[in-house]
Amino acid sequence: MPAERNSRLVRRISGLAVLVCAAAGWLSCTQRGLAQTSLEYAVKAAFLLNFTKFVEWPPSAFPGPNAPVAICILGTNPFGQTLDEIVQGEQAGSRALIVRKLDHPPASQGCQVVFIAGSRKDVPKTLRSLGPGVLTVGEGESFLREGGIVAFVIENRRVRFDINRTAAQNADLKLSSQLLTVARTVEK
Amino acid sequence: MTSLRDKPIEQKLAIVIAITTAAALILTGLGVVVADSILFRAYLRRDLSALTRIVGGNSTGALAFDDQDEAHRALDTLEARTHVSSACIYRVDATVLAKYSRPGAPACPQPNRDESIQFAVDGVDVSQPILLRGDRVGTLTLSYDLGEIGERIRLYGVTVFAVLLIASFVAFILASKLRSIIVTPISRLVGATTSVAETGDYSIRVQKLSGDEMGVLVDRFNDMLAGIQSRDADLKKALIDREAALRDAENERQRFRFMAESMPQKIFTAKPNGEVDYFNAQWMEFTGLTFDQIKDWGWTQFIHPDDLPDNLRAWRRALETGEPFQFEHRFRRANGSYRWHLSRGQAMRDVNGNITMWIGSNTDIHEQKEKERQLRRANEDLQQFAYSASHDLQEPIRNVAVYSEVVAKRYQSLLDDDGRQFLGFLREGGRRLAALVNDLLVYTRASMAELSETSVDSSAALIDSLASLAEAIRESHATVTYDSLPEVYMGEAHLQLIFQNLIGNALKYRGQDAPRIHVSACRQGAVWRFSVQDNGIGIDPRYKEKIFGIFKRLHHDESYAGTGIGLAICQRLVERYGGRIWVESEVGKGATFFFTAPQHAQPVRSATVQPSAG
Repeated sequence: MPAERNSRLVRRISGLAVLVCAAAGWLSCTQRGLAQTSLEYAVKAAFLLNFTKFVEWPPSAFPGPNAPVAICILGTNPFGQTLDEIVQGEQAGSRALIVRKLDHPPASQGCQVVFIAGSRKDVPKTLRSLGPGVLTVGEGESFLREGGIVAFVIENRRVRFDINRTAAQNADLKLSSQLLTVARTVEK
Repeated sequence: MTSLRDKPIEQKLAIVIAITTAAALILTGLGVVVADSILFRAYLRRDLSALTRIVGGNSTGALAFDDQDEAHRALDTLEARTHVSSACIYRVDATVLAKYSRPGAPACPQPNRDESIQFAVDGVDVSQPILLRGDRVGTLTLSYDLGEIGERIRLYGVTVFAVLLIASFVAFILASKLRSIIVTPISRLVGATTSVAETGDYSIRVQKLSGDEMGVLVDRFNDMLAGIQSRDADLKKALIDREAALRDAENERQRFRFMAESMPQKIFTAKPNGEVDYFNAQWMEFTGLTFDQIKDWGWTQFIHPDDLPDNLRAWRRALETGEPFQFEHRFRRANGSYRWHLSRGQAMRDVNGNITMWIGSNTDIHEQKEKERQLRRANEDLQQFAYSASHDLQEPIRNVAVYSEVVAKRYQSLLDDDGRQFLGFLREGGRRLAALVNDLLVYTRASMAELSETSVDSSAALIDSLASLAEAIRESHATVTYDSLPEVYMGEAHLQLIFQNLIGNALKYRGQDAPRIHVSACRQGAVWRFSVQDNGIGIDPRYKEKIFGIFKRLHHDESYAGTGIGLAICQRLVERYGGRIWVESEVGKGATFFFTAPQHAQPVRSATVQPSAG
């Protein structure tokens, strides 16, 4: 039941959002360190899932017409089990969603979303190794300069993201205008 | 409505136009408002559905990434729609992500599971699910203020009112315009009728201003006036003529009255139904009664009771048939005595033959009547005497004749020559006396004979008379011929006697040739005219009348035997039956005797013509 899934997903996101908002408030004062980290990645996990709904991949990005949308975590996994739980049972259009954890950049058509944790050092090299048809998501403002498409940033204790449209075009991806409007900044 | 009915047509037109215009406009306005509100609802439904889909679609990103600012921005686009009073974007768990509302606006409607648009009196609540790639990511709810509809209706009302004002103005102008088209001809017509009614001048005509029904009406009115004008002229002429005729009639009446009053006779006039409407003064003087007492049928009171029934019958018959009437009857004088009068009446007729009145005169014939009565009585006495005398004389005369014959037979030898001669005179005288007395008796019988009331075949009477003359016919070698003869109302014995005398005369006064006698009859008015023609010696026209006298003879010689009483008997009989007898002849050329006999039963003893002897 898609509706059920939807409602579950949204509830989850909104619940997280509330927590984020709350973290931005008085609660965060006492439990900042731990709580902030886990909440931050819970939100980011939900965002990762939602990105798949605002992005259109070219058919060449998939190995087959029924191939799932693979969200790949390259290197360090900051999400723990959160991402798996969120993605569980979700779909991106007609395609299923799976989460893969990789140590090395994937082969062509292996991943449609690649999350590169901010702790990774060889970001430019990694990005260059990835072919077209991959939505690259990273952390920090420098990620876009290095050739990434979407970069999570923290602003006013809230999770936001920036978008590099040129990179998206280079990667042969179409981004929904809704995604662009929600983005903190959009670079050309 | 009554007040409207009496208003001038111009105002009626204006009111009718105004009402029609107003009704049309109001109905149109109502229709537009109703149609518009229905269309507006449908439009609003589509519009709000589209609006919420767009806004919802624009807020999918905001919902997906829980971006309140972006959600507010999406809602802020609704600001341009002034009637959206409040709107909210709900998350899937029905918590509010973003909210927009105008001051004083109600709270956002609660989200519904499916798309819904609910119309309330004052507003519309919309709940629109927000989908992202077919997945529900939230709900947009919106409250729409329906004040707009009221505004629209107000606008329509103002428009209709404004158009109504303009239309009324146009209607007013149209009515003014129509005045010249419709009202002006009517006003002229009304003016014309008024002046015709006031002045009686039928020469007035109305000017025709249009070719429509009004024009036709004007033409008809003018025609009618022309008709009335000519008829009025005719009427005036007829009135003048009538006055003249009345004057003439009055003059005529005066003249008649004057004549009637100055006459010694009694004069009356009666209506066609028999009611007497005029008696001249002689009447009042005679009867001692007033006109009012004797007018109409009041005159019956002075008629002698014995005469009245017959009088009334005769008068009524005259009224029915229209034939003149004549009547002899007795009127009572003022002193109570009765006097005989002869009344004659005649119907006056108009050109069509209808009776317009009766006019009658009543002549006092009392003296005349009295003399007549005395004369008749004397005559009757005389006839009675003659009859008795001749009847009583027969016996002694027969004795003289019989015994002179006896003397001649038995005692002739005892007489000398003188004696025989004297006896011869005595016998001859006796025979003649017997014949004379016999004829005289016949004559007086004829005078007193009862008239027959049955018809007789005159040819049978002729044949009978020829039989009794058979000897004389044979001796004289006479030829008697006759045509077919009619039936007449006479006593058979009387008719036979007439034929016998006339044919006997023809045989007696014959010339050199053998007698040829022809009897014929032809219809002459109400009588049959018989003729007996002979070829005898004829009669000198000087003696045409004389020969019918009693004992009158033209020939005293012995060649023509007879007593000279035959034609007197014929005349007596014919006249008894109301007929006439005469002769046409010349000496030596034969003679033709004519007499008339009644075709129909005689109105014997009819009081209308023959007064009773009493």
